Amino acid sequence: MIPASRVKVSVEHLPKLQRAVAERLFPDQATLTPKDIQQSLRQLSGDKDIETEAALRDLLKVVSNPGAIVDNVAAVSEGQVGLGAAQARSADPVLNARQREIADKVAAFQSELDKQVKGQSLFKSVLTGALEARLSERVPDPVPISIVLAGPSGIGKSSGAAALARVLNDDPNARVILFDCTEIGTSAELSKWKGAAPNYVGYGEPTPINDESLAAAGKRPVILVDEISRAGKGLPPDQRKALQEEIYSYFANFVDTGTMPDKKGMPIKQLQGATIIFATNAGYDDPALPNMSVEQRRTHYQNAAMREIPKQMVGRIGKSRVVGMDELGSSDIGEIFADKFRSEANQLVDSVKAAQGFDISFAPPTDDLKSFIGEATASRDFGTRNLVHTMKQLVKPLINTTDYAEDGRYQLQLKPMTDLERSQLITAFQSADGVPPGITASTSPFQIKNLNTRPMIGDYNSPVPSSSEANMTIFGGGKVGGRSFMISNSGDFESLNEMHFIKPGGVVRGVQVPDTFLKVDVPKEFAEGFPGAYVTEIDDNRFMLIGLTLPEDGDEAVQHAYVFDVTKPKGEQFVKVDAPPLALWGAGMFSANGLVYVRGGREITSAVENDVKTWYPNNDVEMNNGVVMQPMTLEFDPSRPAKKQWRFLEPEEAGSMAPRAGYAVVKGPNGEVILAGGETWVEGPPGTSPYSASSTAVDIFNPETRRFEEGPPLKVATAYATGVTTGDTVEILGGVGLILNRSTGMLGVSPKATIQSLNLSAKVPKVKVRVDEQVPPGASQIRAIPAVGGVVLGPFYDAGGDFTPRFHRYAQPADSE
Amino acid sequence: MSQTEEFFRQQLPELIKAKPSVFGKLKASVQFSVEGKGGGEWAIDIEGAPHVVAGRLSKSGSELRCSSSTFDALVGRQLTLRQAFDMSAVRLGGDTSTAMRLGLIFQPVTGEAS
Repeated sequence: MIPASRVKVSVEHLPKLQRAVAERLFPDQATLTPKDIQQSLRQLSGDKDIETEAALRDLLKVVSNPGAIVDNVAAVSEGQVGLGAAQARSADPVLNARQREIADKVAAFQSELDKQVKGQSLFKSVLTGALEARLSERVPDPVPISIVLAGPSGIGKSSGAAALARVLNDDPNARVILFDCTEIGTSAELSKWKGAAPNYVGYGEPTPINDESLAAAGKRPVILVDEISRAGKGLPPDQRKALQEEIYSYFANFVDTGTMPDKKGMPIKQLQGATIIFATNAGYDDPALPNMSVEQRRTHYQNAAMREIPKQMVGRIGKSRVVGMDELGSSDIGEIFADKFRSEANQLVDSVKAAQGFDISFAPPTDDLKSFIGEATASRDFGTRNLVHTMKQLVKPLINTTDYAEDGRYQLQLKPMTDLERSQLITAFQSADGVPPGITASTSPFQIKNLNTRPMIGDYNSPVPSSSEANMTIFGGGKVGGRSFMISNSGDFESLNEMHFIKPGGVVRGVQVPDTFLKVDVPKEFAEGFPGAYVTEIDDNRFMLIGLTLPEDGDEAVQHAYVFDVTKPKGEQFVKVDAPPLALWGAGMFSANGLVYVRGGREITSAVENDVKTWYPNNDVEMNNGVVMQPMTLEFDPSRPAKKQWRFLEPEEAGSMAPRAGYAVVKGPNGEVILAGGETWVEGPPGTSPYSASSTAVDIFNPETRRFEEGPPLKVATAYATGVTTGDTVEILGGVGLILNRSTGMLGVSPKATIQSLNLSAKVPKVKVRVDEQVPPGASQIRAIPAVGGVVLGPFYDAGGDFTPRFHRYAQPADSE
Repeated sequence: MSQTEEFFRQQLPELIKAKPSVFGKLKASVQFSVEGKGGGEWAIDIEGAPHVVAGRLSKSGSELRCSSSTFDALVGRQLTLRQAFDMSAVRLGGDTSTAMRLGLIFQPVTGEAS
């Protein structure tokens, strides 16, 4: 072990307080020994600088303890000051339990202080020193710690005092005892603090120190004598200075002895161990201030306070504890505004959740807005108080009256404005005491914007290949060979099934050219078949098409399947392949890894007499389309030989599935395939008929494992909806809620004007729903076609309009106002 | 008058009158069988010019059969004919391709474009 007398400590590795003392008292020494410190302590004898003395004694303890020194040196690295040093001490394993407790409290205090007070390192250092001195009992309890904070209003003096009260008492509800000097206009009004005698004005009114304020102040009270320089505002300068001196003198005995008499002249015991903070704005109105540097302004405020304080009080308080505070820079003000806004936003988030039952969130205000606030309110007269005005008058009404959507992510922003408008607005704010006249919540330069750039349904202005005399249906579409295509039927009584390539339009020589639909020849039996089809892309160059013929004579339904290969010569692009072994309707068809899957659906038969009679007992004709939904999955592999291209998936491959039809099928952002909702059988209670109903079930096909997994259920049961993926968002649009009684054929149906968003990348995948008026009931069986500039949806029919089908774009909206 | 009856007695005749070119392409008569309360047998007969008749035709090219609640949903445009077919809420007979295009009749009545 190193003998204590031979220990040397590197000054630069000391915690900040000790380092400050060491640098002040040992300016020429890079290292210190216990002997150096003891010598300084002897020189300090009789000095009132209790804090320095205490810090020296603390330093002596550290230097005399080699183990602690080693750890301290290790923990406190070069350049680590203030909070870093406190945190390092907090983490120091050598500290005893009490020291650790103190270090933890100091670290917590610094953290709290940093949250509430921007900048102001010296101010924080002095407050931290006061806390540490008090907690470590280096300053005995009866002696108050006195601090003078000098600087303009609204830079954190009050909030710093409040934080000190909370941490000193280890109580988040502890309050400062406030002596507000703005209410003292004359020396006679000091009686307000003492308590007016019977028959005098103010008798019976509460004084700053009363049972209630003492109880709220806790066992280690913090007294804040605030706004001293604003006392006697209406008085001539000499009388005003006299009043301010009188205010200081009012507390002189307390600063000396720690005792303050109550109304009866008896000392108030609860004030033992108090900390008293004098806050003054002295010097704030000096016209030379704008030309001073930050350091000069700090010194200016300190000197102004020293002139304000009666000379005898300066010695009692100690010059080192008269702290000149920095004025806040515009960036600090912007950050303070962001903090205040966060607090408001958090409250709003909680209230929305409580009232609406869903989550919203707020992003921090934009840098542009913070910069604006900083510039607009960086007035030395009002400091952050301008922010309070701003929040109350302009921002709070805005955030309280905005309509919030589920899962919405919002941000407070500056409305778009020109540089000139911005400059004029800043000038208006700077010259106003608070918010400029004429600017209200409704005309404020702020706005709340929903950041969720959800896909939206927008206009699509290109003409579509259907006459206004038809009832168009789109069966599907996709991209092949890099070109968008669509399979459809224009819907009049003679129309054929068709295929079109969509040639993207654009701006040509300044003129907007619409998309054009180029017709492609399709196999005759498909063209003339039943107006309906399954379509799915297989890969970049191929898609599969399955059509249907329902013979009039009641024979079995016939399906015909093709693979379209864009790389083949024209006329040979449709290659007939095996049709599915069952004629299915309402199934979900998709592809993955070059294979095609058909899941669920109804088997179409013509000879369904028994089935039909179940539904319609009086039926006496052969009717097509089946009733029974098939809980099965088929797989098509184009590379297999003819007649063997389809197979039924084994149960372990298909996963568990209820009989379902009418899924929304959509490929997700990571190649997974989502089959959402649909219609499913529901067995009623015994003795009642089964019925079919819309489902919330979601199946997800994992292309890597080639297995179906259960996805997060939808929030709204829907069938025959449409799935769309843009970017990372999978959304299920519209559909219908239905209940169909099997025995009676009675139908209950309600269109769903909803968009349900699936977040599959979350740890726990979840679904959010929003009612969206952009999804009209007619959108319950629209189809999505990938096209240039997003997805095209169609067809829509306007309620009350004619037969003209309209398409819409479904794409990320432009990020504009 | 039930919604179904009102549709066949008023709306559909008006639509046929307003859209002669659409219904002129109809190649065969169509029978409707709406079952349940408020239902009935109705048809679009193409003999002469397309027109609506009550009852069952002796001969039709296509047939659409459903419950009155389904038919009400179609008339109310809560459901498209294609959806109703998908969910087996309607049954089609005869020339099903023509029957499937009967969604046209549930469109609102407007004048024909000149």
